[in-house]
Order: sequence, then C-alpha cells, then structure tokens
Amino acid sequence: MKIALLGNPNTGKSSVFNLLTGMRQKVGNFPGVTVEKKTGVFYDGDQSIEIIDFPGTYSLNPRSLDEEEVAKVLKDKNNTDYPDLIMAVVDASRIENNLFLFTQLYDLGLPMVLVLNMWDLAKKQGVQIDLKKLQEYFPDITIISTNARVGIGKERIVETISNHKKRENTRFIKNDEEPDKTSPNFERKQVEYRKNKIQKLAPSFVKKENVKKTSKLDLLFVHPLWGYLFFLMVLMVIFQFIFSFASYPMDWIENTFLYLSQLASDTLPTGVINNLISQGIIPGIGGVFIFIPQIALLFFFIAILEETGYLSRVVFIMDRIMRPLGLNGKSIVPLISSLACAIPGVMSTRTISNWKERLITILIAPLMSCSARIPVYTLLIALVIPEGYVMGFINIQGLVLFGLYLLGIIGALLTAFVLKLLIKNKSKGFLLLELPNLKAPVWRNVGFTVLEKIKIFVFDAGKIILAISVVLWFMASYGPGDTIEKSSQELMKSNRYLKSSDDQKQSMKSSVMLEHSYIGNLGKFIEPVIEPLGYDWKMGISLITSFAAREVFVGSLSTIYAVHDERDEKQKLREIMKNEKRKDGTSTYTLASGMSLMVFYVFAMQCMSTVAVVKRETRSWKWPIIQIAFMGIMAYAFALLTFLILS
Amino acid sequence: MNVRLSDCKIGEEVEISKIEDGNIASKLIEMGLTEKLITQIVLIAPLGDPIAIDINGFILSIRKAEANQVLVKKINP
Repeated sequence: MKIALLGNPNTGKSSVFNLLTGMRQKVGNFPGVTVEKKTGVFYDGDQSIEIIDFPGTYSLNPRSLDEEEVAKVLKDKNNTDYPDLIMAVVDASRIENNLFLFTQLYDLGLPMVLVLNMWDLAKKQGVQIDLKKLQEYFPDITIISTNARVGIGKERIVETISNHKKRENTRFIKNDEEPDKTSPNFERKQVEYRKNKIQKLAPSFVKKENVKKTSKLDLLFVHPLWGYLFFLMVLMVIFQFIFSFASYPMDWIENTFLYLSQLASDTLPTGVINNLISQGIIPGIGGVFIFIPQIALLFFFIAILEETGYLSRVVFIMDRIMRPLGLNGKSIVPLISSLACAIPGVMSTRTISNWKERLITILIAPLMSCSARIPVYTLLIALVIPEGYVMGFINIQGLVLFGLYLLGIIGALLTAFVLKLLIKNKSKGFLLLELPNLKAPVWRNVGFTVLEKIKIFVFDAGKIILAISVVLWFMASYGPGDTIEKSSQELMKSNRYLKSSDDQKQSMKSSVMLEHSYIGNLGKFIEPVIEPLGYDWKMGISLITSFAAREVFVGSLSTIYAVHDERDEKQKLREIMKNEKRKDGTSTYTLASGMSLMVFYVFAMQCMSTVAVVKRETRSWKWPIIQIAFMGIMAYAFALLTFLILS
Repeated sequence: MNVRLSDCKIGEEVEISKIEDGNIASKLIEMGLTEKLITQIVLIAPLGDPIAIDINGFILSIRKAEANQVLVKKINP
C-alpha cells in the first residue's frame, strides 16, 4: 500500500512521518524536477506500507515549484507516486484554516485518514473541536487526534490506516455547486466558494476562547534594534560552533583518508590501478567526506531555528532589506548557509517561490566566502600580512580575514542588485509567510533533517566531486608524450638529486612530475594571462587544481614546492613560499601578489561541485555558465586592481 | 468607510470588506483573508513592511503591496 502524507506547513507533518518510519526513510527527488521527495516504510504486522511525505502546502492551486509537484502527482492516476490512501495532517489549533487544503484533498475521492495533530496544544489554547459533528460532515473517512511531537499516537495511526473506511463518493463541494467554469475570475470564485462554505460550517464544530495572538518574545524578535542584534548574536554563536568544533572531526576525517591512501598505495601492486585508487579515488572520497561536519552542524542549527519558528521571524525582519536587491526575506537562509558551503546554500533556495528571486539568490550564493576558502586565506595571510595590532587590540591578520569576508558579502549584494536590473521577469514577487507559534524544537526532527542533508550532499554532489577529482588526478599524473619520463630522468642524474635524502628525492620527483603534467602545461599556458595579477605558473597550477575544491590550493603548492615533511607541512610550505623568488630576484609572494590572490579567491567560481548543484537546481547549463563567467570577470578585475594598487 | 489594510495601525480591529483583484487575490483568500473576517495587524517589521495579521489565531505575514489590495472597515472608529 502507498500512502501520501499531506498537510499545511507547520502542522507537525514531519513529526508524524518520523514517528511512523523512524530510520527507515530516504530522500530523493520527484522524477524530472528538483522537488524533494521523502519516502519511508513502516509495518502493520507483516504488511509493509510505503509512505511519501509531500512538501507542505496550503492548497492544491500551486504557487511554488513544491506545490506544483504535489498537485501534479495527486491529479494523475498513472503517476508512479499516486497514492492508495491520503493521510491529511491538520493542526487542531488552526483547524478552520487547515480545512481548505483538507477539503480539497477530500474532494479527490481517495480513501482518507484525517490526523488532528497538536491536540494538546489546541486544548491549551482553548480550541475545542466536536469530533462527532466533524465526522458528520465527512462520514466516510476516519478522524483521529494525536500529539506526534511527544510521540503519542503511533499505534492508533497504524491501526486506523489498516482499518480505513471505503469512500462513498461523497464530496465537500459537489460538482453542481461549482461556479461556472467559463465565468471570468473562475479560480477566485472557486476558492471563495470553498472558503465561505468552510467558514459557515466551522462554528458548528469548533469553539474558540480567546486565542493568544503573538508571544512577548515576538516583540523582541521583530524589534527594530533588539531584533537585529539578537539575530546577529544567533549568527555569531552558530559560526563560532561551526568554526571551532567542525575542525576536530575534519582533521580526523582528513587523517583517516591519508592513512587509507597510504595503505592502498603500500598494499596494492604498483601501477596505474594503485595510483588511481590511492591518489585519485580515495582522496576524492575524502574530499566529499571532509565537508560533512560543517554541513551537519550548519543544518543542525538551521533545523533548530526552523523548528522553533524563529526562522520565519528572521524572514519577516529581513524581507524589506533584501527586496531592493531583488532578493526575498527567505534568501537570508541560503546566503548564510553559503558562508559554510554554497552547496547546501543553493539547495536551500527551494523555499523561494518567485523564480527571479530564487535565481538571483542561487547566482550570488557562491560569492559568500565559504569554509573551503579558509585554508587559502589563512596560508596567504600568514605569508604576506605582518603580525601585529591596530589601535592596540585589533589583530591585523584577523582584520584582513574579516575584510575578505566582508568583501564577499558586499560583492554578493551588489551583484544581486545588478542582476535584478538585468534579469527579466513577468510575475511580481510576493511574500505569504506564516509565523507559527514559537515552540521548543523536536530533537528527533532536527536529527532527521541533519541526516537527510548529509545524504543529499554525499550522494548528489559527492558523485561529481569524485568524478572531477579523478579527472584532475589524471591530468596531474600524466603529461603529453614522454616529457614527464624525460624530465624525471634528467632530475635523477642531477647532483642536487643525488645528494638528497630519500624523502627529499621523492618530493623532488613529484614536483617535476606535476610541472610536466597536463595541468603543469596548462599552468604555464595561462601564465601570460595571470601575470598582470602578480602570479606565476606555479600559482597557475594551483588555481586550476582549485576547481576540485578551493582548499586543494594548499596541497598543490606543497607538491609543486616539493614539501616533504608530512608533520609540519603547512609551516614548511610557508617557509618555502616566503623564500620563493622571481626571475628578477624579488619575492614571489609579496603583499601585492598575496592580496591579489586572496581577492581572486573571494570572487572566482572555483568549485565544480557548486557548478553541478547550480546546474541541477536551475535545470540548465545556461545559468552555471553565466555564473562562472561573471564571477571569473569579477575575480580577474578586482585581483588586478588590488595588485596595481598595492605594488 | 473603507480604508486599505496597509494604512491601518497595529492592534486596530477591522473587518475586511473587499479584496481587490490582483496577482495573488485568490491566494490571500485561501490563507483565510475572506470578506467579513475580523482581523488586526499584530506585528510590523522594523522598516514598516511587511506586516503580520491575525486570522483567527493564525499569524500571516504579507507585504504592504498585498495589504494594499485589501479594503477594510474600522470596527470602533
């Protein structure tokens, strides 16, 4: 049996879903679109029941991609996801409002179970529902009351499903009641008719005492001063956690994969397969896993903000500020997420119903400095920015780091403004946002959200990251003709090589190999283009390899400069880079070239995973290509400007 | 006398008299903004826009542009 779980947003629908399925759930997409589809399985005795958790919606007349998909599946009997039974979840404390979608679902004529969730909360708020009376209006379905948040009601839901009633062809709005289909404004008349009928009936089964309107906390959350300060504080706490705690599991993951690489290279017979596995595939998988701690932490916090209802207050106070930039209050979440990683950021734009606002958000998201830029920033800052303090207490290096973040944010917002003027759009943006009751988060729901996001990242973006890292491995390990072979042999005859220790020999060999590989040639090929920015071909190689992921920059430089000390790699690399000279004898890494490089990293789209995700979310190659182009131009122009000003 | 919902003050009780046809009129009705509904603005965002209104205990936030499509009568003038 197949069940469709449907309901308004904020009705506790996911609580019901998690309650029923536990760990037996998976996330995917509806065929052909990027609307998220969560499916799960639960058991009634030996019978397994499949349940699909549809995106929350207020009506079957769609106004966003998510809602369109819900309507499409339910109106097409041949759709693979067409259900045998509909389970509608209604927030008992808001029953009158929720009945619009419910009666639309009822009129589809499918067998149905109505779950009146948040029964306790309704009681507490003085909402009384006469179940007998309600049943009279909808005689051929089963109605039950639950409190899924605290886990009460699972057995009853399962039992109700297996004993569900047969439908008797009753409808809430009968066919002959419908307004004339040919009349102008038919949709509005249809909606009005349904809503009026619900409002006429409602007083006969719902009694309300003084319903509490907003909580005192709301006055703080939307306050012109405290509201923003509180939000800023929340952000600071989140980033503190991400940056201080994510590094431990990240180090652990990195070391594990280094160990596995070493193990594979030691145990497998030497040859292409060995290299492919130990230098291509294992580091590639490691490159996917390394992002998991940050994604998990970020979505942990976002899920809490969402569960408590605070996030919709943030959208409420940010909407007016974001609007002149062609964005929506809802853009704030993707943009903040992008400070950790643009991939989940771009993924979380799905809630924005207006296409233009969503597109602009996607296009500017990668300009927010993500965490993969941190290793690049920190290496270069340590190299070219002197230690010391401004005004006695502000750390200069910290100030520069802050400045780079700010540069990214300002760049993103200005780009949004320009895009707003350039992108044409027919439909006007609007905001219809529910401010749900503030409540404590359900930890089980938070946990499931985190798991779900990790799965999406590992399986969707992970594939592309792995594929590209294999391609990059190939380009870095092989070169045109036998140039690698020849130059290695030359190196082995040199005095410098013969005098070195075994470790040094190994790293000198790697360095020569990289120099003469396809990537090395590419680096030299682009040298004339990047020379005005203050870069040489070695940096060129690192810029190219950065397309796998920006932090690869550090590893590539280590290889090129033949750093062989595994333990103190970063410090050693810094020393070598400091002493690196140009042909004319001046330092390669100066304030000018270092800053220029950092500015380049702020703006350039050096992340194939993000490109892949953008392609998926916009359903064409057009937008990711435009994005690569404008970000590339910005990177080049501002890096050039920086270099010219500072040198 | 009809005024626009967007011109009302916070906490002022009003009755909706008409929703003008517009891009999202039927969406507003779906969400519960129907004629004869007694409502009030409960929250206003810092820059005066958007606003949040109470629909029988359901708090809905809409932009001023949308509120401008809603004509209301003040209950206690």
